[in-house]
Amino acid sequence: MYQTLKLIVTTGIKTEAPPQPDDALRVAGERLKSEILQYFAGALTIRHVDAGSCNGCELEINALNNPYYNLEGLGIKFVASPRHADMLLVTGPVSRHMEVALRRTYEATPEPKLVVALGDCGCTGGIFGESYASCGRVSNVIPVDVAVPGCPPTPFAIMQGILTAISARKG
Amino acid sequence: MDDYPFVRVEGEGVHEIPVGPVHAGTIEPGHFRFSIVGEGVLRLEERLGYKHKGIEKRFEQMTLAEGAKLAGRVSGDSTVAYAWAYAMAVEAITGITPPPRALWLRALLLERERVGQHLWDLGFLGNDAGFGFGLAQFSRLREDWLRASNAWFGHRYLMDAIVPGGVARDIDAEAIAGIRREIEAVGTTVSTLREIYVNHAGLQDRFVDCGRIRQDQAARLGLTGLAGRASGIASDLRAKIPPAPYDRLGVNIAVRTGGDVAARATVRVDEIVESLRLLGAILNGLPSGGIAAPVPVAPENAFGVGWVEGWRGEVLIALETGADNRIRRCHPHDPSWQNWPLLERAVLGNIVPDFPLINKSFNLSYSGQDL
Repeated sequence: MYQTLKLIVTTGIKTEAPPQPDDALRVAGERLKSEILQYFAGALTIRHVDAGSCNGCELEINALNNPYYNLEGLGIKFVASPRHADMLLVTGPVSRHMEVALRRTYEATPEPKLVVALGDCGCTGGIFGESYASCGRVSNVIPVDVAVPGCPPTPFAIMQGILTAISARKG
Repeated sequence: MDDYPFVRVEGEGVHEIPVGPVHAGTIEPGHFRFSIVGEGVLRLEERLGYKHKGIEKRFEQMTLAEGAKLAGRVSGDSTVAYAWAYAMAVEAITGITPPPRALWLRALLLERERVGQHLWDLGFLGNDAGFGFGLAQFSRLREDWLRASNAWFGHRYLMDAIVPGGVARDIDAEAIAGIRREIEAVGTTVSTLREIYVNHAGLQDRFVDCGRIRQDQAARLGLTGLAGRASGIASDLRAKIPPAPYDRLGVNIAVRTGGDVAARATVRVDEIVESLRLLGAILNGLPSGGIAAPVPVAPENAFGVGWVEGWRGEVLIALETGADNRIRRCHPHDPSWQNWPLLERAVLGNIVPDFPLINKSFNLSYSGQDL
């Protein structure tokens, strides 16, 4: 117990400042009015869906909960059920075997909802592209609000995408 | 959804739990069909393939150079092992050898990938047994490690750092000094965390005896890599068929015989310690010189193989060339292919809440399995 407490105390608080939203990441116009978006600030639940990624994006999504990024400190947490979710965070070039699962997850998510497509695969289909096995970019399958490029995008970039989706467009 | 004929288990009080493909946590998709009585698992049947992206067909549309990028994205957390195996195959076909400095840097990158992933897994193993402190500490160490990789090599996960012919980036004296400091810092903290994990009665109660694969089962069913070594299968390509520079460095293989979650966790800690030692030895022995040899146009209808001990186990690339320096066929083989069936054995006799812990202790690749 002593060793544990000692390491907690000597480590200290590592959390860094979060990023600012970036309108350049938006895919479509704002689907939700800003009056609704304000409810997500400080209390957002996200359901992650891996629609066929190489797992690189998942590594960075999981890093969001490490002490440096501390996503939960912003009131944002991941939930197990799409029925509890405000936002879907989707990775991968949507393999055809995940297409139905992705659609069902989207339909199970109650309105108002947001979708953030993650990574080069989620944005454009990436190196896998559209094929007999993959549908391609996430917006080929479900509506997308924000798309964050990268291979994989850093946790900072992912946070930026999430925060952009729940903020009103500037100007 | 569809009529896949999962094997039914008959009996009083037997229930079925379907899990996935969308899983509760942030993890890859796959389906697990449990047959249970109370919380005890009678049978687990896996159904994978949800991540099938047609990777082998995609390779057939590429040049040899383009294929290197795809190889590194079969299973993102093993990008370095795959990139090296692919480069090895191309170099075998074209008959070239990278310069010595490049080979030593490749080992540096591979050991960096190994340490980073083991730190990550050890954190999640703690978390899956309710020890959030473990995840906080190991994920902090892992983040430091990734940031250092980004600073020295331009990518947190070292994607595209290994290319056919050599490596993409060199390191300078500042990077070498930085890596030495890292080795020291990580070594000290991992040592402390090992003590904490070992002395934590609640954690050990979950780890020990959980998800056991006996040595005879492992040998009979072909358990390989990290999980194999935790069940007494003393095989590691870095010692068995060492590519340069491992033939000069010498690797101490981490082997345990318990075959349970505790053993797979312990092997990871042992391998971190050994990898930190290897990183120090690599920095000490790093030859000077160039970091890449030019890659000539490959002959048509040639065949080459690359084989590297990734952090999970052996990664194999089998490559066949077509005309115009293009790929006719490439088969990337993940060690998870061998190990997935063993997970169905490991959960028998355990309770359902221990499944995430057992699954994580193997941490197999879904994307590498599905291609």
